[in-house]
Amino acid sequence: MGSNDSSAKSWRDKLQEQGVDAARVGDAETAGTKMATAAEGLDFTPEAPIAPGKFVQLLVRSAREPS
Amino acid sequence: MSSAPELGLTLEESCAGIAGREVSVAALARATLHALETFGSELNAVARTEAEQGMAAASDCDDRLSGGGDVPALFGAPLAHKDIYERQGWLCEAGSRIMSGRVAERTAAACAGLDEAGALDLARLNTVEFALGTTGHNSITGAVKNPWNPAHITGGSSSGSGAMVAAGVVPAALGTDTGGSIRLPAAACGLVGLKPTLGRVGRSGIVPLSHSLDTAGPLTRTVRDAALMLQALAGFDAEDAGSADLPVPDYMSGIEDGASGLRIGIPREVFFDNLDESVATSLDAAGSVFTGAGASLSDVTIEQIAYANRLTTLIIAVEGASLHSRWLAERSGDYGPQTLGRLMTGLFVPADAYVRTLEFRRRFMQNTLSTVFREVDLLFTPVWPYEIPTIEASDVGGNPGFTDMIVASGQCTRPVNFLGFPAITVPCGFSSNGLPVAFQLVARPFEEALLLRAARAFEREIDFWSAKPQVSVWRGN
Repeated sequence: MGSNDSSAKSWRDKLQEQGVDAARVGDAETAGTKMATAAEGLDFTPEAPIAPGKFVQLLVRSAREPS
Repeated sequence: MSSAPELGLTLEESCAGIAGREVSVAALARATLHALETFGSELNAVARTEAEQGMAAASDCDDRLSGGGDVPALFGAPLAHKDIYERQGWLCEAGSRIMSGRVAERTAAACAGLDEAGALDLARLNTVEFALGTTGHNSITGAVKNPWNPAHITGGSSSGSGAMVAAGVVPAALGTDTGGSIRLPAAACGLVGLKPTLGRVGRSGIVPLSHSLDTAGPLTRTVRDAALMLQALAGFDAEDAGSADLPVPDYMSGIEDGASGLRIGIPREVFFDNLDESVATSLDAAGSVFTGAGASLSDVTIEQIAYANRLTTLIIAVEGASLHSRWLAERSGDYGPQTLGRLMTGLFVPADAYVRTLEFRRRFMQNTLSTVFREVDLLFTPVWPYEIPTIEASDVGGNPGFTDMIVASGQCTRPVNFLGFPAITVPCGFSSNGLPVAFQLVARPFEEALLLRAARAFEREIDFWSAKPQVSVWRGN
């Protein structure tokens, strides 16, 4: 995805400009890409993702409803 | 008899002694400050003490006591907290160089709650850098040492909190839990660690790591002490967008009602993977205590549980990187190497993976609640899947081969953060290397009272604290 690629390049450049070893940056990029594979198997639904504060409201709602 | 008579009491005992005018708050505070300096140094657990303000507050407490009348529940209790809890005018450095010298401009809501309950605040305790780690290592401030055996880790990231409560220096301390950082050090140090429901305790004034997961809570030596702390902490925080506006129950009410009739589920998949034998033995024995107390145990299956650990790690990586993006862009050299590596990873996770994770989280939580928690009241799991390792063996900087063990350290805790449900860890024995073993109970959202009741039922059946750590107020300095 273009926006992800350009963001990744931007961060590679920023980190290496500060002297972070290119290999370490590469390791982080590999780890991040690998980390994303955890989400690959998830079923797709058209529902909107839940914002952090809204997730708490779901927990509150569950506590108020009889189980 | 402890080396300093005022120390080594539980929070409940300390507060009763103070309210009963049996002990001077100033004398207790002075002894605690001395112990924070001495044991804190020996265990590398203390970032800094605040003696001047602490003693002034203690003197004010004694003046009030001499005037007669009732006092609040935690009046005069000498506490100390993880160095990510802000107090206006105090340093708050989060175990980092990035925040070195930073003075807080406000006081954390959790600290304000304890202030209102009358507790003292005497120090800030060492933490893993920016609370990002499960062992207690910190390349900047050094590893905190476990009072039971100082060659071993305390667990993290609330490492100093675990050490100082287990050493008997303070009766309770605040930690935070994003992927296990209250429960892991509590378990490693033989303590009760309470991770409340996401949103139960306000988070304003706490240095954040992940807004979707961060939870504030106490580490104590007893279950009743955890209830006392939660009573002071729980409530709506208008400054925290993730705060729950829900009434706070009386957490002591019903705490002695026992475990009879409770339905406890054991989720074998993931939680019990690759369990060390001595840990498994302790957990089996703990399960028997519950059945002996009248609870029923049964195996349960949590659908799609295999996703939870890795997706929690994804959320922490992305949200942590986002929070740190300015510093990563300008001061990456000021981070410790472990922390930098973990934060950099989050910069390279594609956005759609994060978005899908958040959407999945909602479905996973609702499905688990409507299926598993229809059949059981609580879940019972390990906390650490293996014996508590040494500081040297678990230092991935020097021992990269330990990395997989680091991932495994959160296999029992991170899924609970993903759910947002409350959990408590309770010590239940010792492993073959002499370090504590604990189990975890998990309840439905905002059922902390049930957690406390079940944990207390177990605690009454064993006397874990008849043993004392090597480095503690009970064994002298």
